[in-house]
Amino acid sequence: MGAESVAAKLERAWIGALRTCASLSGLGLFLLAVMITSDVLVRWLTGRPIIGVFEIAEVLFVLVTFLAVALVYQDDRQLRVDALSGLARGRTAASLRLLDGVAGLLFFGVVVWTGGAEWLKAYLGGFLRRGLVEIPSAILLGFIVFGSLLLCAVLLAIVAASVRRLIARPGKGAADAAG
Amino acid sequence: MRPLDPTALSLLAAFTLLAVLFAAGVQIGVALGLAGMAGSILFTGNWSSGLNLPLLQSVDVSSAYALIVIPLFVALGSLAAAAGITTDLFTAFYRWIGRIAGGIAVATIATGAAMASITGSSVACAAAMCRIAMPELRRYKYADELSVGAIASGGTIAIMIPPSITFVIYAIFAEASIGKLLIAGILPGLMIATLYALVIVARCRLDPALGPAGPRFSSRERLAVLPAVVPFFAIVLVILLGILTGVWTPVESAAAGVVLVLLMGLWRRRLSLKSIADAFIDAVVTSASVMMVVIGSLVFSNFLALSGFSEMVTSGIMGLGLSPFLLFVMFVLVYLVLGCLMEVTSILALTIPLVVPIVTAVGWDLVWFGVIVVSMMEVAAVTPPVGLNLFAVKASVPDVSLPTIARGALPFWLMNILAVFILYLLPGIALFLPGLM
Repeated sequence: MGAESVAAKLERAWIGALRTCASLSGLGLFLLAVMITSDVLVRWLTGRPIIGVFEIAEVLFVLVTFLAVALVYQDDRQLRVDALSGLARGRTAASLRLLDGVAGLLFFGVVVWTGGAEWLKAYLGGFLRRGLVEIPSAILLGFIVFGSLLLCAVLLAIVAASVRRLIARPGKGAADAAG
Repeated sequence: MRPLDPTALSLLAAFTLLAVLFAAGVQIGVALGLAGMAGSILFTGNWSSGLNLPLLQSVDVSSAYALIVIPLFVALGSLAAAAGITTDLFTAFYRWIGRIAGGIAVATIATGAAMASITGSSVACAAAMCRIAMPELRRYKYADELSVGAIASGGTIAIMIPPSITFVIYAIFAEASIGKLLIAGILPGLMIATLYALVIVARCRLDPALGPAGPRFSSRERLAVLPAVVPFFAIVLVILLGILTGVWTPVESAAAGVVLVLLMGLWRRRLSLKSIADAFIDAVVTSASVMMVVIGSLVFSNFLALSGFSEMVTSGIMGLGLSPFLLFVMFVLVYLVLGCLMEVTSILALTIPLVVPIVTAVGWDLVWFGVIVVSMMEVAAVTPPVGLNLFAVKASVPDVSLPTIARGALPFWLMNILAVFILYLLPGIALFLPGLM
């Protein structure tokens, strides 16, 4: 019972962390809107753009996208073709969910693997993105790797849950599926 | 037995993997990405180039300034809905045109078209209309079939009239101008809304029990609703005119739209800090979901270009010697079939990289073809068994069966097909406004 409550607490904390990341992503989007609108206004009033808006917007956009990807899977909001898979029930549904998780892990695992190596190179080499304002490439790559890592953790949890469902006794599996 | 050459082997492996992953319900972007990676590795025989593709596309896509328009458009729609603009619009149209036979259903379509100018999500539009219009439609004893059909179909206009995320996704895959495509959707969107309204009025004239006339409001009552909707139309006008005249880019118009709707909602005390935060979080999650598909499909497109498959398909289709009209009919049929099996983003991700070279070879305008494709996506949104709008309506009105909703949407579905052929015969409807840019 005690172990269960610790697990439940951990799960709540984990979901809270994912929501915090998505909130940061939302805040990033709000900042993007305000920043770009300010640029339009300043350009209209003075005839000159705000230096760096374009470059900062590009990096903010990476943050907006990758800090929210984990929540897409956590909330099961990913886009999929479910004409056939939507009909699956019980163990078949759990198997398909397992495949979804493994495929996602494979794809985003590759992103983490290759992105991590590139991030290290960019960090150690001090690479900068070209533009009026030069922003370290490591920041942009860092958001991609961090977001993909979070997503991999969510996918691992999905895989683990699907495996548990698959190896559960038939009665319990059916109850789980119904639940 | 002769071994397959690398091109055939890689194509066979990639498409087989894609079919299996799609059928298994794997996330579309991941399915396309894995198939593209596997195909590239088999084709080049080089692991590292294939494995680097997802990261390369992730960097390119997620830092592409022009694509910032996607989360901003989603946020615009979410904020507008949270600010209760849909209710204001429906009230206005209801008071102005509700008194004619079928008028409340026409008001539903008009609200869908107006909401389309601030949101790019047809599902969100249909779901919002269910909450707002359905009680009124039932109060005035409209037939459920007509009501749910009008709501499901009215929502589809959102992907035609800017801001439309579907157009942005098409523009990414077709490498066409986002601004021109967005503007190109205005007149066809209005034409489709008019066709929808005409079919409602005609059906209610023939069978008045389908949609009796609503209440008659005095001029004073009708004028009283205008202050609530005039600022909304002013914002829409500013956004669209800005893009049309080149004063600002689609990204800037979307950002300004978000700020203006936010200010309007705060000024009218319709938005709380929580509703604003919820709208932005909803926007980033929806947008991230779309971006994952874009990243995966660009990995797949990369492989198709590398393997020369797009050229093979183009030369194969051109070799059939079909007339442009027959080719057009073939495309319509292909999209009709795909619309029965897949949802909009996956159809675009899978087909556009293959279709665009054919469109270019025939000499069709990519902007015009984009309007045709988006019209077909409107059809897909209400085509069983996967038409998302049908499910959005079903979720909001659980006591109406899915077959009833599909039957209700059928006359509008036919109007959409008619609109596609009108656009083929009169391409100027789509190309007139972009021609002014």
